[in-house]
Amino acid sequence: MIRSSEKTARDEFLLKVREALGKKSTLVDKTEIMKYFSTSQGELNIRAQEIKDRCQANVEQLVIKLENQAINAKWNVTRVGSPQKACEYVEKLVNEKKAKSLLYSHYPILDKMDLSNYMFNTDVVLKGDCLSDVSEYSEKEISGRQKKEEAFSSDIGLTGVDYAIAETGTCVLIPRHGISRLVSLVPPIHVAFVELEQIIETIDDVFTLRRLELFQKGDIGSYMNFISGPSRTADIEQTLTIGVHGPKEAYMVIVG
Amino acid sequence: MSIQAKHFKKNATKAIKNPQIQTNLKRLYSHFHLAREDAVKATHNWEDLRNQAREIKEHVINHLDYYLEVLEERIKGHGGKVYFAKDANAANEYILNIARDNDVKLVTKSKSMVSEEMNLNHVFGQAGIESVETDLGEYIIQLADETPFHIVAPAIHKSKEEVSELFVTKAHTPKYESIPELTEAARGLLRDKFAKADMGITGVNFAVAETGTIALVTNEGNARMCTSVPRVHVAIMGMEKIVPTLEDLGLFLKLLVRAATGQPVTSYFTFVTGPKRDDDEDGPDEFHLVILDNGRSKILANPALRESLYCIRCGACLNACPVYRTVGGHAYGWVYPGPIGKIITPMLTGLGEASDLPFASTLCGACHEVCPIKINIPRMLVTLRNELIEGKTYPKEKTRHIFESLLFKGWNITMKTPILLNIISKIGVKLQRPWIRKGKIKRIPLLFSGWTKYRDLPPLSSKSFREIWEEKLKDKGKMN
Repeated sequence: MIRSSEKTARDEFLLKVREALGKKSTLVDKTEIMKYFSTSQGELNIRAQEIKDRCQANVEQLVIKLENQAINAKWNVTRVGSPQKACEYVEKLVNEKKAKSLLYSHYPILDKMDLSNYMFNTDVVLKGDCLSDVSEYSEKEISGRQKKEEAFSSDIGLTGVDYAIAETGTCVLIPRHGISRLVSLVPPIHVAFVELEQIIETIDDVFTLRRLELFQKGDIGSYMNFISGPSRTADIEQTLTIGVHGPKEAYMVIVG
Repeated sequence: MSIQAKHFKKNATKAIKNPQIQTNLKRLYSHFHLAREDAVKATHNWEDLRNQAREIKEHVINHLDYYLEVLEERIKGHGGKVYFAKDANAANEYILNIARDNDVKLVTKSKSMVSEEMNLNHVFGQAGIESVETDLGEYIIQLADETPFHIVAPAIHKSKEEVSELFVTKAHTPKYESIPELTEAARGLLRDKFAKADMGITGVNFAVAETGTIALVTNEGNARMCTSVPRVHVAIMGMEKIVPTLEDLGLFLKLLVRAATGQPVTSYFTFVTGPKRDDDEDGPDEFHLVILDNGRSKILANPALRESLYCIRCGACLNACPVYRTVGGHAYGWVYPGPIGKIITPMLTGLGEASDLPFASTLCGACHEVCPIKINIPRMLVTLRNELIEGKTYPKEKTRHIFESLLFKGWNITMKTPILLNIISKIGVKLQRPWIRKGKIKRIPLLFSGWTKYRDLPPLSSKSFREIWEEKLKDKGKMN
């Protein structure tokens, strides 16, 4: 029995759990735990390497699988040959949707596309999602609010991806410095640009790769999203309806 | 949420007589249940996945003290805060304090069954803080001032006409007829709230001990809004929701989504690991995880019922259950309806509060069959029935009618004594005559009414199997 005169709510809580489990102390059965909670990085390295090799060797099959599964998940899917062609695709979409403002995140593919030097119609406003993009506001908090407002008033959000999962037609986005959480969420249209080397086979593969990153860097960052098509609901009469809180339209552009 | 489980019979009868609810319940089978079946068929290693998940859950629950501490340590390591709440009041008080400290005026909430246990919206309301449910189904029932009808789809009992009416009277929208129009209206109403919200509240589908990550599974995107826009994010979880590593998530997400709606994936899986980092573009400055006991340690302490803590709240047992599909979610009278609710509700609210629930089952086993974690619900229902009548661990809550006790004792003796069985059957054949209509025993009054009021029994045969055997079958057997 663990007893002390001053127990915090936390200690009482955990004590109750231990008592319920019939445990007399905080000692744990390490061998039993290690069966499910192993921290051997060597083994993880091997698994991660196998994933990379497998995905590299099958890129073309994975692209086809990704396209099919993405269509099932209700993405609009296109494949273009180069970043330049991707820009042209954006222009076409902007015209078709009569979009006035574009919000983009600083994924490498968007830097390659160099949209700020692309000649859009003059009334289209192009905005980056980075603090430095709204540098006229020196106060961090003010620029944060400004960014939020800009996201809510944008017509199209343009992002790259960190991974694309062929098995399920999913884009994995990891918001961080230069990549806002809002670009793929708030505007009614989301366009995700996928490069070939970002395509991997399964959801399990992503978790293995991310876990390796955890072991290497000690942190996996604050946020990650798996996006599989547009926002949807079936909450009224179990009838599928597209576009509730997130984007109503989702475009996947495979570049390469 | 106040506990209405004592009124199971009354509320079940009401639902059975409501044609709208009956129509909407039928859809559960044709939509969710059959979609789940297709998804399972398309997953070649479904049984292996179930076994693996069950093994992991069993391990975590048996070492819950260890995993809770690891989870806490990892979240604190990222600058998040963890609060262990022994009950709903403690959790509510903690969350209200955070709201006050941060001068919160508007809260946007993503779906959380645990917050229903806590009656959190009501608590916010009392404190003068606006708290808005943002899952479309939850929003609808918040407008209607009702409780969730289903774990996954809280408003499935409402027709679009009822939703339309609610939007007009409670949210002051124009009158919309179609489901897309209604959805669009909700988008507009709630966008405004998202843009202004100070605090976001979410549940937790899974918490990863290794990283201190919480996983959220949604289709609408409201959980993404709640975790991206406001300054403060509070996640609330029952203490059983832990998985050990990031690599376990793939398995559990696969099982959850397929079992719940039959989708291979939902539109969004969102993973939150603490508050925003210093150089992140956005995200909440504060992250709190509230871990709730609220009676779960009682379940943990009972080895016969412990496996009910493996539940991942997919709702498959509801959709498969002939009783749920007839009486609907509100009859169960608390947060968790359906087969799993028949175990969790009595355990969390007190056996005496919900003593009818374990008996509201045919023990057909459909729930066990569809459960992605293979939770043996029928076995636990029998355990609870036994508890309620024998009262070995908990106070005895139900007494068997003296007539019923005598009858079962008599049954016991009769079945062991062939001569007695023969005599009793002969008497029974004569006694049953007045109540046989169209070849069935119907509505015997008084002491037998409980058995025959709602169901017809096959009559006793005038000849016993022994006699039929002697007359016909015996010779036939010889001929062959």
